[in-house]
Amino acid sequence: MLPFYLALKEMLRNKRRFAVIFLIVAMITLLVLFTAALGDGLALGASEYFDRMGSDLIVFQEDVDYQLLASRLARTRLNQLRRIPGIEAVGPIGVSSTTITAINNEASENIDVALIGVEPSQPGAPNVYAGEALGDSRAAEVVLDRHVIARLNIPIGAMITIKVVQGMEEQFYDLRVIGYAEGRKINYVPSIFVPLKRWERIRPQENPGIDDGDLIFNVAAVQLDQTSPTAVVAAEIERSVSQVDVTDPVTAYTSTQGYNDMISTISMQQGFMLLIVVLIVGSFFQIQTLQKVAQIGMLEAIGASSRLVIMTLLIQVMITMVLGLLIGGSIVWLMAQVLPASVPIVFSGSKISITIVALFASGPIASLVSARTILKIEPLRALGLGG
Amino acid sequence: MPTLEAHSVRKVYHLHGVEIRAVDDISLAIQPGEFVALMGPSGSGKTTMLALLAGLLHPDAGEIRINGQALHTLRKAELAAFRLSNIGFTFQANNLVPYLTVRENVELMLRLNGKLDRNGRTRTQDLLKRLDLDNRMDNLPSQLSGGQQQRVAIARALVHEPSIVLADEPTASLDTNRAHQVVSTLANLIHEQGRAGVMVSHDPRMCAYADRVLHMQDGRLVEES
Repeated sequence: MLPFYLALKEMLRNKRRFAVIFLIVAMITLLVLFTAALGDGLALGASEYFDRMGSDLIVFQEDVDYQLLASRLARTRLNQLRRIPGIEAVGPIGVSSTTITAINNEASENIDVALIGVEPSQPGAPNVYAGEALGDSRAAEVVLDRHVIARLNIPIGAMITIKVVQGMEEQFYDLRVIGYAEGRKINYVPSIFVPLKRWERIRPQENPGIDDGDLIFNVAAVQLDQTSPTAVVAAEIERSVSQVDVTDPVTAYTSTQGYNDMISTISMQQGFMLLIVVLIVGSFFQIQTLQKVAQIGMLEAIGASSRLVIMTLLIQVMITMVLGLLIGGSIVWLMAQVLPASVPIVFSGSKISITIVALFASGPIASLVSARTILKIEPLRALGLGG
Repeated sequence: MPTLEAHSVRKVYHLHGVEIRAVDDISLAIQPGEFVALMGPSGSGKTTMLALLAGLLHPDAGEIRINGQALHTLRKAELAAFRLSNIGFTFQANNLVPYLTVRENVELMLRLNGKLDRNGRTRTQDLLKRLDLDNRMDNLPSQLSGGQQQRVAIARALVHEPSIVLADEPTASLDTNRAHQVVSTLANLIHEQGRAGVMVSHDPRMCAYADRVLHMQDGRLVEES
């Protein structure tokens, strides 16, 4: 109990000093967590749709380097895929760009979204958390992802108007909102989902009205029945379906142009920032501990054990770090609630954990190193006394 | 039996290849209730001797016993525990924990010894009253004068009823009146409570309060009066 007594007494008797320390730790936490969350948010902008799709494999057109928009697949490929053993379901996915311009015929903020055509109930179709999932494969119905709703607050049942360029003209299409899905960003923009046959009609195209009867989409999401290993099924697809490349969802989004450059830049930035911050926090507590050299010398001289001295320091640093981290973390959380939905803030469990653990550990470790140094000094020398 | 015995104690420092005998073959014994002043010029080895007596330094030769316990046989943690219960210490500066009040600083020794009970609290109050600090009990060290801080340190050195009190230059930062007041109080309490006391000082005026004065020079005892 004595270490707690000493640690708390010092903190309570030096409220202003420790308030400043809490604030410094909180601000540092804010900086690191916010940067980490922002980096993760940006990364998620490219990966979210594929990452949350729940499919085992993605089939692309051959030799397009897994570039989503460069890939073109026809319905015949879909039928071939469905006949391969080990495949439970195949969902065609068409992706294009559009702009939401109006809600219930009233002009709204224009936001660019990905217009994703999917086959209802097939891989690639989003799960809805409110309203209804896509059903009729030709209906003028749309499911919005959470990012769209966060920005435009569109109620279920509302009619949205989207603008696409077909040929040389801008075309406007009305779609009825039937459900909300979780976030499904793709290529850094939020998504809206329509049935594939509707998508085929309303997507941007150079020669509208020409219908060769074969449905075209970009990629196919494949769900396995788990009777065969994924690699075996992938090999079988490439063997039995001509002119396709097969990969997993992670490769699909990491192959997005610029993704790896962006991720490595963000990771490097986060790593350096964490390193710098850990060094700053560590140095801060090291200096704070070294300032107590005379006090620690005196305590040792009167008979206090090294354990008591170390425990007192550790308790104080840990209280400081916990409170600072809590305050900083709370501010980041509040900022995430208040900031516009267009600011991509994502709290990924692993990164936040690593950041918090690294920050939390830096203070006690630095204090321990300093305390060890101080405890090696003869108490009378620590007190500045000589013979 | 003497409270403190030192036999042929030696402490040597090596500085830039030069051997400095800070304490050179010193033997002494201090009885319960005896207050001894260790005098000498700066650099004569007084504080080193005090540190050796407290077990804060290990002698290169000789041995020190307190209440019959040879300090060199104790490990670091045992020595700290022994010091805690048997020795009271005052220093010339940095005596007090800055964030504890006067009362808390004195009671700290009782807390460290696990003796903070009703008797301990009463003893703290009595000592502080005796040292004319009863109206300062809830003040922090920064709110006290140098003399008051020294008196708090004396209370802390005595409150856990140690066998011996070691005081390093307790009057170093005090004016003459305060110095006399502090040392006379320390001497009186040591005599009254039957403890052994050793005070290091370079101020000859403080000798009047000691039962015995040992003079040190170049690490050796050169005179006893």
